[in-house]
Amino acid sequence: MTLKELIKSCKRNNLKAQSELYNKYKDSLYLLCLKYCKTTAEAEDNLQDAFIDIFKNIKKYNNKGSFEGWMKRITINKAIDKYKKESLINIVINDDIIKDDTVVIEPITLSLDELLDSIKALPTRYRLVFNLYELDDYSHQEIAETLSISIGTSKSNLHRAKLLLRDIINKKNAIVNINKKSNGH
Amino acid sequence: MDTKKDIGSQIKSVIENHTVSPNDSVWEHLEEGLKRKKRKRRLFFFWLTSGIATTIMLVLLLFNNELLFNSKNNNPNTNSIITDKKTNSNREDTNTKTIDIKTNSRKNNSIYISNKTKNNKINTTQNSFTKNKKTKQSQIEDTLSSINHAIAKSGILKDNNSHNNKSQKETTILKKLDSIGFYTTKSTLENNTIAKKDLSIALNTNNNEDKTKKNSKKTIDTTLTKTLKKGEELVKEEEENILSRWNVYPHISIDFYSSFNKSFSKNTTINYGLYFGYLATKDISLRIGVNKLKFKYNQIENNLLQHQELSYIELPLEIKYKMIDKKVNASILFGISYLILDEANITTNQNTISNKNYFEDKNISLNIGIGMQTKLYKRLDFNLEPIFKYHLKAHTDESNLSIFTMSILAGFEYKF
Repeated sequence: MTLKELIKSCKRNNLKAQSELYNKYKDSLYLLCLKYCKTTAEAEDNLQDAFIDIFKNIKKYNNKGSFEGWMKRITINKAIDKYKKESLINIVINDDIIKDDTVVIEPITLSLDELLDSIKALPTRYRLVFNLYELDDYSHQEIAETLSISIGTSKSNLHRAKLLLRDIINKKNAIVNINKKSNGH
Repeated sequence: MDTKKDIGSQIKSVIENHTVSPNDSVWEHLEEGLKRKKRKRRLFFFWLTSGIATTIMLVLLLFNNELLFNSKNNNPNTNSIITDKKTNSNREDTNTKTIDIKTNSRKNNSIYISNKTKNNKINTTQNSFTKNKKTKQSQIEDTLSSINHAIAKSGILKDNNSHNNKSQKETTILKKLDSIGFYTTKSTLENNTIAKKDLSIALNTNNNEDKTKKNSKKTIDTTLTKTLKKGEELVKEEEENILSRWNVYPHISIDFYSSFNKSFSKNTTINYGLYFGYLATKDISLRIGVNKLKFKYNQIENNLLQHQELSYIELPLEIKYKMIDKKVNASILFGISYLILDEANITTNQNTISNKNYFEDKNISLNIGIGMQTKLYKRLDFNLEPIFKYHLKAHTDESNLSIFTMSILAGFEYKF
């Protein structure tokens, strides 16, 4: 079944087609959820909620633009909605415009789980901005609109997120290296 | 050689090269939800077909019923109205015109409801009652199963030994949910509060039992809070549903009285009425009402301009199905109206006399229309409804006039 046929069947609420669509995209959307959610349980809940929204709104999809992109937007928005309500009092918002947000680091040798754990360790706002900008190619303008913040705040949050991440990853990298050395001896 | 790269691009490239699959339970829950949705859709068709069947049955019953048209049977002799007439052109001549009203041909309509019809009626009622009961039960089961899933997810019920506890908990929660009433009008806010408290106790008991699982305590707590929240939301939703199931809808209407085979002029009037509605499902509401209808029209009969005024008490029974649920809701509505003739006066030149015998005392109209509704406040909606009504038998003679009315209703609907 082609993607177009699959979408058409899903629009008719065909359970078999819905199952096929789920299996086709579950992995990529789940990875997306893992990046945005704090825990695995929350990521699974978010995936489920996102698919409910996808099947509910699939009739509105008019075959224009990438279907996967459309689903990803729904999934990201679903995750963001949960954290939007969260209190952000612990985050100091500084609208300083960062001209160069590059933060360099040695090659990362961490596993996927360790990397995801590092991202999850970031404060909510930093995590969202970092994911949206670096991993899902949103512009600062789009992030500002999505999170109801200013462009300056988005840039500042991104820079701080990267600095924090560098520290976390460096520490984890050091532990990995020590473990490797001790295993080698 | 500098091997350092930007942290963002490095993380992106690592993540992009990996795939992670979610737990199978995600699809199981999702599938369950989708199936439940399908069940709801099937329930809609059940309501729709029952609505149509009930309407047809009512029409048939009323048409078989002598009460509807038997008033004319009591006067088998020809009725006549003698009216003084003056022509417009010659006022000196006074003509006498006799309007013969033909005897109603249906002399021996009897009240005939066969045993079969009666039995069918009883069976239909029983079936719908049983189906309602089943639906209620399935909703309770669905809720229970989702709560169980949440509990299972938290790991509390992984232990096989806790099977008996699980059954007990199921019973407790089932009882609580049942005590909420699920679409029974008996349920009160007080009951719901008790149910909420008990649900909380039932779920907290789980928490106490599994204190030994220290590592998963946090997850369990989150899941339980979530489940409890879900339960509370359900109760809240139910409360709201119960609270706003009924509505009252006073309205005014602009009515256009006409016939397919005769032309009338100056045939628009303004009327008023009141509807009482009941929200049977999320999308379907039933309503009955009482409307005071006054129709006026001019017609030319034997080169004579006549002005006819009619007054009816209308008792409509209608089903409204919501098609579009947006800022402005759109619905289709259909049903029947029982029309009781109040007055009928004809004016020819300067004389006004009653010509009630020319019209059926009781009549039925088949109604179909579109309803548009927009929310003004939490419980107050504004309605605009163009409705077409076809009158099955308006006149006593055999002129076969096909009468219809086109009404535009407007008013405020208050939900309670």
